[in-house]
Amino acid sequence: MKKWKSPLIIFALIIALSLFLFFVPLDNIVRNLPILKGFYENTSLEITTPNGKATVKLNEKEYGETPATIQNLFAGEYDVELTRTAQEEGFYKSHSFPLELTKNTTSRINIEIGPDNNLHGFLLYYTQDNTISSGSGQIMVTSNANGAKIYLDNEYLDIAPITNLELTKGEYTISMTKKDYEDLTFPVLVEEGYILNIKGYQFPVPVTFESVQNDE
Amino acid sequence: MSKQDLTKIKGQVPVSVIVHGGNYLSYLLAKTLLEQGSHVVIIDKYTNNSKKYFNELKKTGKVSFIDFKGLKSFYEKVARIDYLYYMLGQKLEGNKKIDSKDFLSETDYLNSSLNVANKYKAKISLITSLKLNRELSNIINNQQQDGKTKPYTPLELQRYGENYAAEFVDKTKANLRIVRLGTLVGKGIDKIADNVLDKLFVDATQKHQIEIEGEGLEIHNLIHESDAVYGILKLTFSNDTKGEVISLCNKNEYSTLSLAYKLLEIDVEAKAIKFVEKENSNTLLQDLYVPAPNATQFGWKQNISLEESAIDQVSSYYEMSDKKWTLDKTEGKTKSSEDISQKSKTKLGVFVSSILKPFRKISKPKELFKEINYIKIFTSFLLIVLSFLFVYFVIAPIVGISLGSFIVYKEGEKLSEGISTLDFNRIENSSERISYNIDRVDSSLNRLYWGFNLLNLEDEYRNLDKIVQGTKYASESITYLNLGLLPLGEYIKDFEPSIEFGNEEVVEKKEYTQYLESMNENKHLITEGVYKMSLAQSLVNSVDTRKIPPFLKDFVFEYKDIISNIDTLVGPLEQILDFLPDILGLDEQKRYLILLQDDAELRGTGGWITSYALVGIEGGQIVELYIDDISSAQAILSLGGNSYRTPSSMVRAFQDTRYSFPLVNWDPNLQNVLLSSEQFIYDLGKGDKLDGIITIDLTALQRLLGQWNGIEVPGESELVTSENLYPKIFEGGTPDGPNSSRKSIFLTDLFDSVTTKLFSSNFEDYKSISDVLAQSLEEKHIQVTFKNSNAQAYADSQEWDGNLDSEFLTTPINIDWNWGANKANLYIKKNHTLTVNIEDVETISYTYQIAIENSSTKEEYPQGEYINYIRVFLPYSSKITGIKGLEDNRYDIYEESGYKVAGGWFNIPIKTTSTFEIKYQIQAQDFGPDFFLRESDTRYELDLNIYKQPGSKKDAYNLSVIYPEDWTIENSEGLTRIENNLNKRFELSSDQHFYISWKK
Repeated sequence: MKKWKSPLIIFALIIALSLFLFFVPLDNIVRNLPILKGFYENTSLEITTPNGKATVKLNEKEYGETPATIQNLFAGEYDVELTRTAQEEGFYKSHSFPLELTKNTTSRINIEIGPDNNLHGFLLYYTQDNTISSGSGQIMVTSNANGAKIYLDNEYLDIAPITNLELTKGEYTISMTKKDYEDLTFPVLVEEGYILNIKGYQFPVPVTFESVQNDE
Repeated sequence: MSKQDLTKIKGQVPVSVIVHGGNYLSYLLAKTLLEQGSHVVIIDKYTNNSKKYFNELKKTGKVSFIDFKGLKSFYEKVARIDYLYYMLGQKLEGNKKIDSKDFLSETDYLNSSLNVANKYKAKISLITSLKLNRELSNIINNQQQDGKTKPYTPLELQRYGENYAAEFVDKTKANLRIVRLGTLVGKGIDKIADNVLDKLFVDATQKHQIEIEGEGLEIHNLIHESDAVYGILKLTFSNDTKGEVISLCNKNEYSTLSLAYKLLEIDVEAKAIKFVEKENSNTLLQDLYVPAPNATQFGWKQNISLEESAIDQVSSYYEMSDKKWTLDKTEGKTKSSEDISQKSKTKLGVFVSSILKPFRKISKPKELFKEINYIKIFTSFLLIVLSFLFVYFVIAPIVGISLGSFIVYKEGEKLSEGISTLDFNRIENSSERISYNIDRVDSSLNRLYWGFNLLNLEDEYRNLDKIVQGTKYASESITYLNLGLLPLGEYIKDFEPSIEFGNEEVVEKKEYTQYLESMNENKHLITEGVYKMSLAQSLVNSVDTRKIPPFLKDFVFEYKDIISNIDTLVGPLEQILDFLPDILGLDEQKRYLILLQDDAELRGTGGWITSYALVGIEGGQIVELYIDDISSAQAILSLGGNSYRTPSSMVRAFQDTRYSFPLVNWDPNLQNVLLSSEQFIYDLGKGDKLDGIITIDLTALQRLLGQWNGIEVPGESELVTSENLYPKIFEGGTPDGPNSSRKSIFLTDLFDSVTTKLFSSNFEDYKSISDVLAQSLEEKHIQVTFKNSNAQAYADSQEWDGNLDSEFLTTPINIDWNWGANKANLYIKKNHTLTVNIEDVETISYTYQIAIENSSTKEEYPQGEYINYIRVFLPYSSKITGIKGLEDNRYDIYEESGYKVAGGWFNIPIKTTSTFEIKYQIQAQDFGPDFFLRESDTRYELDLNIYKQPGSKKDAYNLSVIYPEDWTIENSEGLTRIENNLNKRFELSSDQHFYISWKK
């Protein structure tokens, strides 16, 4: 038994360390260390709401009105609540957008808030992925309009959702079109080693009713 | 403790016997053994010296004292001996002379002790004196020179004892070892047994100079008292020492002179060494003694250095001479004499200790920098870093992936159970745990990337990563959906209908407004959940199963299906939650018309309307339920003098037939039926608006009865089941027969019972009929449409609304109207044949045939001629080129609601088969951009959507598509290609869709 003592202890230590690393990710520890903390607090969020102003709440904490740039945020998951300011209180509903902020990135929300659940705009945020080829990034595109066609620099890509499409880093223009929905076009920046999550919101085109008369 | 007690010692308490135990070393040995839980028996003469030690040891309790006089008696009575320590050397070192009596007694004690101990398989240590052994050796050397012998000396007795023990081992194979102990030094030693050393220490502590007789070259083997005790125990306990002769002393030997210098170093009284002539002329010229193997070879280690031992001994001598000696001078060099046990280290312990050594010396900076070994530190540091990296990048990821996947799998099972029981807490807990653990798996997989990269398995890695990322999105999706759907789930679970089966009156009102409001508030969570699930589906679906480890392939195939199914299931949730609170009466009461249609008598939206029900819902609760026979309703309307404008198309078909509530489904568009019904309901005094309409036909009803195993219906003596449903309907004879009113009442009563049962069902009841409802909706035996535009859009997307959407104009739409007052639809077989001939990019010609066989054998209800007004709905711009097969070849072509309609009587007498045919053409120039055949740069595309008339049976359908010979088919959607023809034969059980494309 004695001759197995050292191997057993080494084995137990390795397993204990492995379990420790499994249950207590080093990243979570590092991000709370006094000096290193700063590296995790450099995340920004830009929020704009065309054709109107909206109050901004981040995880239920108020950050004033749009346009707003919120800096020095911790990386992590956030719930952004936008309520369009209107003369008649309650005319516009509050809208919540869950999003994940990654360190060293700037996320963007540019959304026009309409009545009911009608939104038009986009939401961009990055997530890190170390496996992406050097000099490239990826995009994931979704739209609230089911089956929306996605174009990249005016070239048709596919129907949303598009996942893990690898692109050379750089600037691109994304367009979304869907019958009975307003088109949406906006620029995006693909960063090396990051997945750019793009969520599009398109206004439905107002319905016009045509009256058809019986031939009687 | 009495001697008798030795027979009652518990089995687990070891018994240790120390012979000649009345001395300081034996005292220390006994004390240690007692501390370790042993029972100690000390055998010696009861003298003033031994008494002192006995009294000390008595305080511990488990010690027995035996005088040599009682030795035999003790050995006879003792129950067990585990260890025997025979301290022969201690006895002999203290005696200068031994007479023959002592010699004989001692040999007798030794003989009896060894025999008894061996009887109990005890471990035996004969402790002798190394000093005496050295002397004996030197005397023997001298004997060789001068031939002198000295019998009955301690030397001879020790030699006899050792020889006897050795022979005893040879004879009995006893577990015995001979331990030759060095000269003891230490704080508890009042007088060193070696006279030369005693004088050395006395001089050092009491005189100004140390006097050394002769040259001081005598060799001494020393051992500190605590090392001696530890060594005796260690050597006795070890089986490796069995039969060995061992020297237990410091490994280094010291001359008298070197010890004198050592004493001077520690700042004693003496400051110099003085050599004097030796009085004893018996000088040893050369010490040729070769000691037995040192105890270090058997795992013992010297703990107390010579310097520390000397300090202890000097202290003792100072105390004896009542002089003070400042201990400060030796601070940090002393060691507790109580520390007589050694904790040995494993190889790992030695390694860790060597690594931590520099840190232990931080408190002693001088030593730290004196002893620091940078290479060793660097090596150790490198080793630690490499070990950590190995664990971090190899072992921990493998453990993490395995453990995390296992937890995720287990939690997935719990999640599944939670979903099936709508246990939202369970779902939340499981999805959170899955989320945490899949993150950990993700992190572990990331750390293994280098390995995949090294082995050129990057594709495999990416595919695995997609599964992990997909699972991550799926778990996040479930978390959001769970939160978002919580109010709906709670509503479904908590719902208690305010009506009871068999009693259509409202008995209790429990509102669910809060649930509905929460549904509205949680919409964004549903949106996010659906979004994440679509990402999960997209990621998992994109996994290339050729590039994953073989053992995972089956799992991945299954997982793809699961995720796709979940995505399909949750996809519509966002839409549903958008309108559900509204249609459940969140803001105001919503009223719905339910029509029971008899599909054995096929009409526009599915069959002859027999009964209707009005359901009012407010705050998620049913607040109104009214059911009546359609004939009664019409009678009331007629009595009220109400008359309605007959639609022109109906006038064309039936001339003077007046439009009435039972004929409200002339229009095949259910949305129009909803709007038309509002007037009838208003005139009946049942409210001024309707928010939706639901139709259910007898096929669906029959399926429900099959699932419920029948239902009680007022007025019926037996359960109405799926088997006896139609016989009971036909009991009444023709509508104009004597029992016609009973037939009408039966269907109304049946409808009443079924409707009430449906609306008084809870979650579990609905689960049992969900398949029937789903199938009936798909096959259009149940249809729903709403005024709420979102709800209507959803019903439309699911093709539950029965409307003739424009997408169906890509093929002709057939609507039958059975006007024969019989159930001939039960006896007919229909066969549709459609040939779509794409003449060129701009022209498509259609030939559509409907062949109907009437298998009725007699003109008697419910059989009979199939008197059918057929309508074929075509695109408004189509050009009809031929119609044949209609009664008297008469037909009407008119435009209605944006369609071109060809209508006429297509009657099939009993036992005959007739065929109707219509030919028409559509041209791109008449349609503009909405032309069915789309042309892009690379292909031609055509959607063919075939409408199934609600209530119709599963008709046979032959579809043929002919296209230009120079086109290359790209996608034929399951149609069989023969040259430039595509064909398919199928059952028209529901609306059908075909997407066909050709490469340019």
